[in-house]
Amino acid sequence: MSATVVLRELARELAPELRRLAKLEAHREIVRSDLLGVGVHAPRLARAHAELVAVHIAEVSLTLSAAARLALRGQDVQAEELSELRARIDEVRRMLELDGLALGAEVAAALASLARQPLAQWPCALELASLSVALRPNAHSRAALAAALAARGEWRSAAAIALAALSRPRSAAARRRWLGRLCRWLERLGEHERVARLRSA
Amino acid sequence: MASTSRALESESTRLEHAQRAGAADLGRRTARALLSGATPREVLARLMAGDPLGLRARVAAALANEALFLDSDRALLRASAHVARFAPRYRGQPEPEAWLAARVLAAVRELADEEHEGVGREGVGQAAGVGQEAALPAPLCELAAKLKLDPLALARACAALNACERVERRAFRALVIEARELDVAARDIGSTPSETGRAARRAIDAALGALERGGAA
Repeated sequence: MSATVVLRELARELAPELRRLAKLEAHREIVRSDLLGVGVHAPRLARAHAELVAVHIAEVSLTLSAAARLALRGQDVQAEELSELRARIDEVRRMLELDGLALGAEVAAALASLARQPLAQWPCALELASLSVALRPNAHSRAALAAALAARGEWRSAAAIALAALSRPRSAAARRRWLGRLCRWLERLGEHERVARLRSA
Repeated sequence: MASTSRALESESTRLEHAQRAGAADLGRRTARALLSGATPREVLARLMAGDPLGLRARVAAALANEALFLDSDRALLRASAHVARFAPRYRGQPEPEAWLAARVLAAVRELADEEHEGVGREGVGQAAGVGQEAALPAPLCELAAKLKLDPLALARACAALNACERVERRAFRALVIEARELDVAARDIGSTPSETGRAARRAIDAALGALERGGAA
């Protein structure tokens, strides 16, 4: 019996098994299980996966901040801006799903709502910004949260966030941005003297 | 004779261009093959098998250019994760070189921002914030031992430097770490010697302040 014939027979015997494995997307499962990395770079791959989770989280947080800013603008939002954000939300949800990552029921519900509902039925800007901060407290998410609070007339809470950011500004530009916001919100609280002192400092 | 020489020269230039174009094309095809048709986790697994996109060198260049004092290995892992996460968005434009450079820069800046915010684990600055020496990156502990400094104080100094303006960090790196001439450093940074000196001074003050808060070993 020639080698070719043996291989053909073997392939026939293995065909159902191969079809079953293809259905299970075995290659994906093997990559996910780190099986190929065992003894070679498994611990390093695990660390890289932790960084990938951090990148996913940062992207979701950034997307929620962007949604919060649109929610604040309400009817002023252009159709292209909305479809751009929706495309981004779809991509974010697809990537989370592909990588088998769940960031909690609240985040999943908010993303689903942003993807499916009209803007008027989105979760409010404060809720979106709060989720964003909970995922990743950074300049983007804090700015969105402070703006959402200010839009509800909660000037003091907004000013408190600005003051906290000003205690450790990331850069001179960030400091200027937060100072501008703080002064606006203090003005609304009637603290004109304090604003004048801040502006002259 | 002269025309033969010119012809040879032109042929050699043509070959050189063709080789360069060929290498660039191969690089483009390799990058696209690595980045396409998979989940972020799968792309990450591909990137972690060796360094097929040369991310290590790109991260080193980004850290040098931004003059950030971060755990470079973690920066490499974060950059790999960034490339993997955003690979499905990549549609061949801009060219892979530019796209990868942008992703690496975004990753390095993100890590520095997280450190500033005190987010995450085992960053250079995080452990300093919470006083956990065990959480410090190994290279930082090794450097601290060589410099006879408390590792936590050194971590605080790195975090303080990372919180400085980019021009201050670059001036510090050029004058203190690389010990370059003031004029040369100023020219590279695109500033005047006096402003470069002042910028380095501010960074030194920030680092010394952080070291003093921790105390030398």
